[in-house]
Amino acid sequence: MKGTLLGVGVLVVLLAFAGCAKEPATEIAAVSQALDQARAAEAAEYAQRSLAAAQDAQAQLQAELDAQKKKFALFRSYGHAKELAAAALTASQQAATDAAAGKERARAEATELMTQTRAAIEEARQMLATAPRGKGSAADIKALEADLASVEASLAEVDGIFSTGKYNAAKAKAQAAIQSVNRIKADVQAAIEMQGKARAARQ
Amino acid sequence: MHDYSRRNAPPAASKHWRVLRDGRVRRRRRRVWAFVLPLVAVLLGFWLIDPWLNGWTRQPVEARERAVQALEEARDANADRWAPDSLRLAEQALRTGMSAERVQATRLLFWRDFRRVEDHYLSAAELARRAAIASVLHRDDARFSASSVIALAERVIKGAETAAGEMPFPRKERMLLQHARTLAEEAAVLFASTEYPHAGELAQRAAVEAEQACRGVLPLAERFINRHQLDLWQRWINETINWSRDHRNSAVIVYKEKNLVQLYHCGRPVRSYAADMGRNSLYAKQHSGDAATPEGRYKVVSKKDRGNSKYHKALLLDYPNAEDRARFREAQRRGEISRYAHLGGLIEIHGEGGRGQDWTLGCVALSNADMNDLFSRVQVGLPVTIVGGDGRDGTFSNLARSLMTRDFSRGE
Repeated sequence: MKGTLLGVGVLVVLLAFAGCAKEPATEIAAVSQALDQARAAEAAEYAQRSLAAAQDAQAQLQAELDAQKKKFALFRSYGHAKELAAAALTASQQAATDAAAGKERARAEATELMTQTRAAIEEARQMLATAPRGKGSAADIKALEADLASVEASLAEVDGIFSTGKYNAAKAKAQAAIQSVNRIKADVQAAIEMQGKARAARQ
Repeated sequence: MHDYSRRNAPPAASKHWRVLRDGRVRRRRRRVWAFVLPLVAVLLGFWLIDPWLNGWTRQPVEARERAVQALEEARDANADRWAPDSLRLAEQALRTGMSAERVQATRLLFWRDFRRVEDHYLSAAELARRAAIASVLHRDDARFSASSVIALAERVIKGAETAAGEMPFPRKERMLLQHARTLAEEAAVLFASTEYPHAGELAQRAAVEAEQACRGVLPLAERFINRHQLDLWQRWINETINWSRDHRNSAVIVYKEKNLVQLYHCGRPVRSYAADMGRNSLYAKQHSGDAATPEGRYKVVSKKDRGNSKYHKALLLDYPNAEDRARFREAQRRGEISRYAHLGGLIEIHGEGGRGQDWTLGCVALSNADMNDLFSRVQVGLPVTIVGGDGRDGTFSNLARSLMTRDFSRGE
């Protein structure tokens, strides 16, 4: 009789311990939050690889949770799920860090390109201001001034895009503006040379 | 032969009979069990080890790795961007497989069955491969589409630049054309960084803006094919030729849009000279500093030989004449010209021209050789008629006609 009671007691304690295996809700929520933070940090644009790794880690965690859910309640164990949650949390935090770094890098590159564009515009403006405005080149110079004004308007667009934090788009626009300014500078130079040739021919 | 049936059994032999009968039954049962138990054991054994023998209890590690690798390859092919739905299906299949594998892995060895898990992985690998292929196809489609639109934009811009080379674009249209160029540059930058859809959109905008710039100058060029205007110019031309014939003398007709100066003698054309006009020769001169060559009937009022002209030699015209003054006053009254504007003057036919472009502030410039020839044939007081054109084969009339019917997509 004593043996039977002891056996039942041990079984109850075991069942109680087994039934206490719960989902690591805190860890899962932390992973989810970290992944949201990575997405909010625009990891999809600035840290695609890291974000994919974090999403894979979360998928593995979800697979483990699904597997445990399919088991009979008394036989569930979330030890491995906790390990996976820790790995997914690390990967998500890494994605957020990489996104911030990537965004900062893109911001620095866009800033550099915008500075170059401003310098190129200023240089072109100087060239236009000092270009000899003879009868022959005045028309070209005036047309090129209109071209430069258009590029300056484009730079204002770049500033607007930059201020909204779309650094990759700002980079592309700034690159295009630099190329346009360089072409205008080449045209100004050609107009100046043409004026010089005309003057030489007159002399 | 004994009869051992219960009814016929002798009472004295009943105990012996029961012993004999029970022994035989036990022996028969033992023989049956001896046969059945090993059979059941063998069958049970086979049932238990059959999955193991078939390999169903082994985790499909290779299949999983292949699926993961296929998914990596699909991501390398940017399937998340070009075939996101296909990639999601593959990822879903992999997740399902991993979940099922985990369930099986926690079972006792002989109760494991990874066949469905392997199916999931095979399915995931296949879906990932399809996603990679779809990604490449969609990317190539987008690239082809974007490159077509970029090529179209370049043709339209080239056509607009040709038009801008033929006639001075007003500032607004010039800026619009430049903006189109910058958009096309941006499209090229985005195309190089494989942002094909965005590149295509920008190239489309560039094409539209370049076309708008051309269409914006159309009303200015239309003057050169306007019937009323052409009739007026033709009347001036006829009157000048008639004067030359009637007075048996020389007369000069300047065709702005043809960049042509024609010398008539006795009503017949005797010389033709290529000439450069004011840089805004698209317009009729309205005031000083507008860089347009005036249109009207003038006379040579002075001949400036070498040393007296900044531009080799010159024939000074009587601009502004009475008609120019009346037109100027009327334009000022209507508010088309600033009240502080001046009519200007000093319009000449001079040398230093022949540059192949309109560059003067309103004068007509010939090459020095042509100027020498004209200078020797023209005297003070002879008529010089300046017209926009005669409606036939001129820069602006041709441009106006082509702008009205131009297919900008061909970059003409």
